[in-house]
Amino acid sequence: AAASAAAMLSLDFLDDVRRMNKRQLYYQVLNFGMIVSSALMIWKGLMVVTGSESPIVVVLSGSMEPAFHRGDLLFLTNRIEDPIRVGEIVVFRIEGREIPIVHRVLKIHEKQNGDIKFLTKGDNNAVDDRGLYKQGQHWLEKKDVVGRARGFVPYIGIVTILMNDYPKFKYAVLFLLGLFVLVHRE
Amino acid sequence: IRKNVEDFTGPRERSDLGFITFDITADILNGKKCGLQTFWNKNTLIIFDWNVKQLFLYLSAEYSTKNNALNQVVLWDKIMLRGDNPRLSLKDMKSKYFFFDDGNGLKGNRNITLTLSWNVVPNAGILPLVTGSGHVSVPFPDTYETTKSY
Repeated sequence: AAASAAAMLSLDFLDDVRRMNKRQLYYQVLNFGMIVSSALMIWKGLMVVTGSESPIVVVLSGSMEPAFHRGDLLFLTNRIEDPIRVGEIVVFRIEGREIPIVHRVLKIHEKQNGDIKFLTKGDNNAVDDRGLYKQGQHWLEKKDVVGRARGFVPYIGIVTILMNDYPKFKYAVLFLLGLFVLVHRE
Repeated sequence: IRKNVEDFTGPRERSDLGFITFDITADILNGKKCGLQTFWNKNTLIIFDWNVKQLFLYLSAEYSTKNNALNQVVLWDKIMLRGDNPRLSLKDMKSKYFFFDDGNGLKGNRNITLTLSWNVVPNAGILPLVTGSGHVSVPFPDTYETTKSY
């Protein structure tokens, strides 16, 4: 009895899909495309408003504890009119390294014309970041900055970390989302 | 917020190194007066409210040199969690970080301004930087000290 019930259910499902004629299928695919485009537009819009190439970042290390922990989400701006000053939390990239770092500005030396060089340190680290910079590099410059942290929300970024560390989890989430959008009838 | 300092400089390779000893007396609760006299119980809520996880305090020295129009150096910092005593009374503190200049701009520099500021870290939300009221100007001497040990 169980076997026949299962057989009936799967037939019903297939019938449903067949009933969705080609036009509806295209409609669903377009719907899906629109959702993806809107998300991209919102992201690009954020990039313009904040002036940062990555307006939202996830904290990956514990070097800024107890303020920020792994998985916290940071909102950045990178407006040129905002000068870099000590005490600010900056997200920067070291040349040759992909992963940006979130630390605090410890020292700045700024010239009359606006050229600035600065040193950073993680709140939870005992020493400043010179050991992290490129070989021979003693200072950071404006071009290394991805953005300044202006606001934050705790914990939410854990999902991104999970998806990164466990690719199977990421594929499962994407697969389920795709399935849901394609099959769900509005 | 009041600071008193004494100081001397020494050359290290190519850059001036400054030494500052300071006292910090700060009452963080009262640090945010908005020009109005507020009642005591209102003051206690201003800085450490339900959404404030901690304050990151730092003492910074700001000055100008021939090489650089603006220099800022953090001399000392402290994390003050919600629940910690908001009144600071520190005496004879040595700076936590080496006060190196980018060049030789500390010798004879008459105007180094020390300010206490803090970064408010909320449980969630905006991360503002606040500067405390009251700052102190410190002059560095014209000659290097070679004999004092730190």
